[in-house]
Amino acid sequence: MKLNLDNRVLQGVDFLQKVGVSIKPEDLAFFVDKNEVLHKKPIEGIKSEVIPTEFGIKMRTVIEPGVKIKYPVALCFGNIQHGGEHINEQELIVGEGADVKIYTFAIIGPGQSLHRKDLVTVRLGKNAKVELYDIHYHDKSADIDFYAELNAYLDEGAYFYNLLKVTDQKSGKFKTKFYGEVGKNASVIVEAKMKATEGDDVVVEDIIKLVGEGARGLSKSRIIALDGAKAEFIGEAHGDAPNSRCHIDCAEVVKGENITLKNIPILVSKNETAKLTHEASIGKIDKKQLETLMAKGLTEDEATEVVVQGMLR
Amino acid sequence: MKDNRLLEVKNLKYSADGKEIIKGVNLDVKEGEIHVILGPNGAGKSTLANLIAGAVGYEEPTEGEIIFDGKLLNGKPIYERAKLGLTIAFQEPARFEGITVEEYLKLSARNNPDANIEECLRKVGLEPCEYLHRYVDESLSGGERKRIELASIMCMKPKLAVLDEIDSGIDFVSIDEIGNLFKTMRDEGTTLLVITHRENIANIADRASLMCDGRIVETGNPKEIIKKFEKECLTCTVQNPEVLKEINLNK
Repeated sequence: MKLNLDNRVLQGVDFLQKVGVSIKPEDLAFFVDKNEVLHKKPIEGIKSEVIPTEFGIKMRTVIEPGVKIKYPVALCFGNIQHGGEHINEQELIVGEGADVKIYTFAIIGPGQSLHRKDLVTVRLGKNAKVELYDIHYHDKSADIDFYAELNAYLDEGAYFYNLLKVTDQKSGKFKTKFYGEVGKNASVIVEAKMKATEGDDVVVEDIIKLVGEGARGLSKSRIIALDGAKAEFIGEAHGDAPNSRCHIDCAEVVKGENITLKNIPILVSKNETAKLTHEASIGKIDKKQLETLMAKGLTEDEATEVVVQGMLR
Repeated sequence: MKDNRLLEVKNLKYSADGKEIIKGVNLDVKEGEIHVILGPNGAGKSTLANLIAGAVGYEEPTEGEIIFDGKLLNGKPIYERAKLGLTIAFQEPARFEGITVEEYLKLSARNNPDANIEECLRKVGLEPCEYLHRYVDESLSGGERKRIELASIMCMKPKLAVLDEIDSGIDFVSIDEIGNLFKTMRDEGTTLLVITHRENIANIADRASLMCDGRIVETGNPKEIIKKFEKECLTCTVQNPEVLKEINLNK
């Protein structure tokens, strides 16, 4: 069946395809250009309410207990024609035992100047499983000031995976803050992959609170900073509960000059059986990696590109 | 076996931090042979391997010449030597986040359109369906990583591969297995210069050289070189305190 979609939806899909996202227009469940809902497809087991506001949308989505969605749900939050002040508020409630994989695409089109806030809350019921992939496409001609906040609350045995990826074109001024409260035997994995180019100012902040016995957490960030970029990572793990475990891992790689990087792991334990660890590094690409690839005939620049693309994948 | 020299190392010297590590090495590697360099820890074997391959910081020897396939290599970076058909498998090959075994082998094979990456994996004892999609990262054991490095060299099919202690830490079932693998590589057209401190690896060689204290002290029949290594090198503690340490540990 041929879909009658707004040109902006097709344009958005085209941007995504150009940056390597394998998606077709019919795969989309939802597309909004700032506060203008252009496409919404019903999905069995998911109830979604969207209220357009002056500066964006308010969206509340409920996934019924036990619902298992076999295919990924793709949502686009774009700024194709509309920029300026933009606020998205989203709440996702996932019922007990539900299982879903969601892709959200943030698409910022050419020439847009915007100040955008994405405020997202995810509540996972007992043994619920959610994978949330947040992939950004920012056109290099856009002027971007972006704040992305994600708060996740995990009930017993729940699993939440989040990947934030801003690796094409430019990041702009971009701050992301993740806060996760992890219940008994629940697990959270939060990953950020960012590329900061000239003039970009990237801040990644992860806070993981292990509040239930046996809770698990992992924060993993990879930031590549090129000439004239700024980047900062703050990773905070709180071991409040017995036998909880968390690892903070951030590698910031520099390539070029006039780069400012910060990398701050913070471990806070309130329980003697909690185990918190971290790895933090700032530096050039490992010489051994370059040399191993150069022994296969790659020049230093080619080898660097291979290593960088691998890290940002 | 052909008699022509693929690699000629002439009076090679290399110093670092005021210390002479390679003290006038002369070495020939003939096309189509497996040539093993045997020697105790600290003899300078890995430094020699790095100088031949042109590893970063080792492109220019202090003195002497390295001639490969008739071309002087002195000063050439590692990737140019690789393009000429000379590569190295390092003692500890690097690991890579986000790069699959398949991609890694394809990178190695980019100048060899005939390479069959699945076949190369099978030859090193790894099943393609289990390994192609895996990442070349910390999830691989040391032995798996070294096997993948050997597969990558098979994919490249260079004229000469320097294997720097590729046998150490590898979980090959027997010496025959690694020997057969080296012979396969040789029979497929890659001359091998194998650096090792394990005398039983030398058994599979066509020729062997004994290295001690920055010099090649003898080149010849592998069995005779092994005898000499066992008789003289393992008990020699004057020039190599590392050996003394090893002997004491073994005791």
